[in-house]
Amino acid sequence: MTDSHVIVEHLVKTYPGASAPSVDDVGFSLPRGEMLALLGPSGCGKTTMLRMIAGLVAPSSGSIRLNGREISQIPVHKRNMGMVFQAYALFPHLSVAENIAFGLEMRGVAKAERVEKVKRALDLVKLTGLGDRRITQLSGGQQQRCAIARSLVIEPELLLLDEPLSNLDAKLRDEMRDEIREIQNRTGVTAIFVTHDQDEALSMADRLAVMSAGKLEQIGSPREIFDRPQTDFVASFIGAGNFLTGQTTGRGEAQVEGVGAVRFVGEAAHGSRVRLLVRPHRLALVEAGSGGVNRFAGRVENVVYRGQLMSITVAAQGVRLQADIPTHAGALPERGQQVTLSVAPEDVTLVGAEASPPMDPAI
Amino acid sequence: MSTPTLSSTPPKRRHRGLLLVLLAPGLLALLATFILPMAWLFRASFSDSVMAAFGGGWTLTHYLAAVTDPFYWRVALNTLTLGVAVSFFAVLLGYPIALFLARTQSRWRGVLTALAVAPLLTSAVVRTYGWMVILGDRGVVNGSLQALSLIDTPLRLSNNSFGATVALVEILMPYAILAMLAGFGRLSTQLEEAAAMLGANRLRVFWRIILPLSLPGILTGALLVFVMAISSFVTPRLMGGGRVFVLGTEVFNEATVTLNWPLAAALSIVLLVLFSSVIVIYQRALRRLEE
Amino acid sequence: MKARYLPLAVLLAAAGTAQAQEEINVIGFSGVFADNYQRLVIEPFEAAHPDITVNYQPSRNSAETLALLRRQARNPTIDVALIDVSVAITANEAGLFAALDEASVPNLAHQPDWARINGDRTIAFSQDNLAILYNTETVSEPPTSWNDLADPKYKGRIAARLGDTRGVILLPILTHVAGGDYKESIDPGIEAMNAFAPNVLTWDPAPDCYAVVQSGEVDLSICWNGRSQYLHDTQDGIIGVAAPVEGSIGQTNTINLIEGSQHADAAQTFIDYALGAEAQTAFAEQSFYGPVNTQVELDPEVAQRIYGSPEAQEAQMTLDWPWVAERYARWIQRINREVIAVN
Repeated sequence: MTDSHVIVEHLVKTYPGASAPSVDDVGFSLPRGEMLALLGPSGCGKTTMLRMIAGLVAPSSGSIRLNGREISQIPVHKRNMGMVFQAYALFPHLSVAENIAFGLEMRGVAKAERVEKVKRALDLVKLTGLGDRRITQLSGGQQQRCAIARSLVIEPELLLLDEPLSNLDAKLRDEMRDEIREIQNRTGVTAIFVTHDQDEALSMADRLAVMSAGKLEQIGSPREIFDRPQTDFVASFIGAGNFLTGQTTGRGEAQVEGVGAVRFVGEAAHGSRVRLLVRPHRLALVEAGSGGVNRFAGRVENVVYRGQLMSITVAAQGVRLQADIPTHAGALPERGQQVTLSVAPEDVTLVGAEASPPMDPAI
Repeated sequence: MSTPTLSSTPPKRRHRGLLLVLLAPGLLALLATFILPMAWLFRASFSDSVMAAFGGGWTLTHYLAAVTDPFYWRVALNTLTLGVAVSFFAVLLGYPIALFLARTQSRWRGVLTALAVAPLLTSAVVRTYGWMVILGDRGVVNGSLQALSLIDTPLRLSNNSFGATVALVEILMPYAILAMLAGFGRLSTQLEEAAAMLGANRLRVFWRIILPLSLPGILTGALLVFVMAISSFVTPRLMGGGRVFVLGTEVFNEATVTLNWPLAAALSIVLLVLFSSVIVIYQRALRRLEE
Repeated sequence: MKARYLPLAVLLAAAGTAQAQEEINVIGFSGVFADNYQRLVIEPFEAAHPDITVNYQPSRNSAETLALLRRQARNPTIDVALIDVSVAITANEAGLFAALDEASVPNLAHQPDWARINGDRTIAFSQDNLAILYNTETVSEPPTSWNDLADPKYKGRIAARLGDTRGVILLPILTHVAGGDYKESIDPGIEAMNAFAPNVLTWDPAPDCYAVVQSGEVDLSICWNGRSQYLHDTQDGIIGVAAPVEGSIGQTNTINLIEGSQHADAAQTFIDYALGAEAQTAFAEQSFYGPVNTQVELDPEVAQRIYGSPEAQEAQMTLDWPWVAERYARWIQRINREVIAVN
């Protein structure tokens, strides 16, 4: 991993007087040009991580290397990183163009060149011609674009974003999500962003690091995180899921109380206790009495229509399962109806299992 | 289809009556304590008799005296100079304190702010006497300097405009700090962080971000102190040794020594006009800044 | 009415009139003056005239009294005002005082001419001399002449509030010492002030011209004799009073009947007593204010404490107050502008 752009090792941050570290021995590496998402609930330490990389917070111990060079002792203003703050932090007394030009001014760039670069930055974020506006005259989305332009115009080593989409309404959020991704791809800048929203993380990132209580739970591609959660936390944090607890009775088979035998894919010691994850959209309705493994029969307790799919809750043999059924497939179940759900063994994940090669080429 | 009535219709008549009744005590108090006395003052300034607002004819002699007598020009100049000097130093010295209080995350922030403003709990007269003790010929400063053999004869630090200025700066500084604290609303640590990330070192963060954004607070503080300084009377009187002639002391002398109430009233109106003009200028400057 | 009831009716009527209690309100100076006046003038008067009660209302200074009188002008509750002479003359311009009736106030005949001002509307009743105070601990050789003020050894050691009546009184004194006449020109007085001005530490001693001497902040101050004598007695003699040989002039207090007073007769009775030799002597002996009544004869010791040495007593001056009142504001202006502002 020595060719990685950013390498963070054993980073720890304990605030004075705190009983536990905010960031507890976190490390990762990030190749050049990739976008990493730091994902986790409030207080998990993701923002502290970002601020340590930015230089706004000093780590208690650990190292941060950029291009192989240790930067944790370098002061903020010399790190050459761009940061987009959650509230944008645009300078209210400067115009849009002046805001964007600020970083260039600090670097002593000549006026003519500044003007040119600012113009190109405005084009990049689709704010062409708005250079003379006051910040207060911009809408929320425009302000964010301005903040992005301001950090990118200086051609930083690293782009950092703190909850970039939290302050936007739903529609704008989708728009900006695509735009940020597109800008990052186009400029090829290595980026790290912090979010508590898993949809954001899954859709925007090349790499996803899930954090909880200061610790790094799992790091991997969005697919890996979603399909192969390594820990209980990741499994429950990412995506909805049905958890089954049982004891292994053989290779790929476990006995789950009430439900009976369940077939899954994954290595586990014989007789050990395992947690199995079944994603709701992997459960399918089958004919009652039809043969096959992993059959769960029960009564429909609740039905929620969601347009493209329908979420049903089924009480099956002592276990409550949630299934997402596509709505295009004929008759839809109703409350009180007896149904049978089934799931393929490949789609029953052993929580904590190693990442396996892609299962379904059709996906 | 009936549409709901818009909220822009005027309140019904009985609501307006109720409004008046509720406002009445306040309005009456304002009338008695401010409007009437101001009206009397205005009337008195034109009076040609010692009965001032309570009798006599009408004349412009007092205004003419106030405006044409070079002594009063000097007095006005002294007053404005005192005002400028005091507001300059009060803001200069109070700015770091206000800035610190606005930005500190310490849990002692409330206590420190209270401490900075605590001098206001003591009357200005008492504090002025304190300065007389500190700056007097046999006061703390001269005593220490002489004890350290740095000077032979005491430095004349009080009973002159220097003493009056120093005392006024300290007395009015809490107002400057309060006003600046209130006006530092646009500052935020995030802006400083953003500037730092863009390559600005501490000095440049201050010069390009903190200072421009604190300017409205600075102007408000300066204006407040200026207005209080030019209308001040007790401190120039006690610390000035009778040598500091400002509009406040002149009005007092005319009212109580020479008993020329109409002239005192005219001088007061002149003072009022002076600092109204300053306020107008300030408003314009502030409006331009906030654009 | 039946004749046999007539004597009873007359008796009752006479008794009724004799018992009718009148109250008069007197406004005057506060502090020690009020205490002395109450004890030495009012109480003896009330003893001699049991049908009249005198309510003394202290006022902080003459300016405040004038303000009160202006406000009351149309419906006065005050009957008699004790007030500084220059303020009284100003008040007369507004017609606030009534002329005294010689028949009701026979003691008017015993007042010198200069003391009967503005057609007997204002009568001087005491003079408090301007004197030089010194700190007996720091000043070994007390000053003897007004010119001693200019002695360089007092540089920065003098306090003098001259932007008021004190200055107005000092100007004629210094003019006289320089050989001039105040009615012709006070330039010599201004010059003499400028001679000692460099020695002045403060032209506005705080809290007053007595305390700064007592505390040792200054060596000398120019102040009023009456209070100084009182402080000399009560403050272990720290304050010494020097009455310069060239004599002095007194701040003159006047007694005035308010125009429109509801109790003019009783008031004039009181004024007559206050101007009488008995009251004047008693008051002078206790307060060290100079009396005005020409019939008063003072003990040599008392005279010494009021006017100074026999030489100074000889040199004692009085002013033509109405003449001075016209120039009062102008003189203060000259002092402010030609002496204080340049020093």
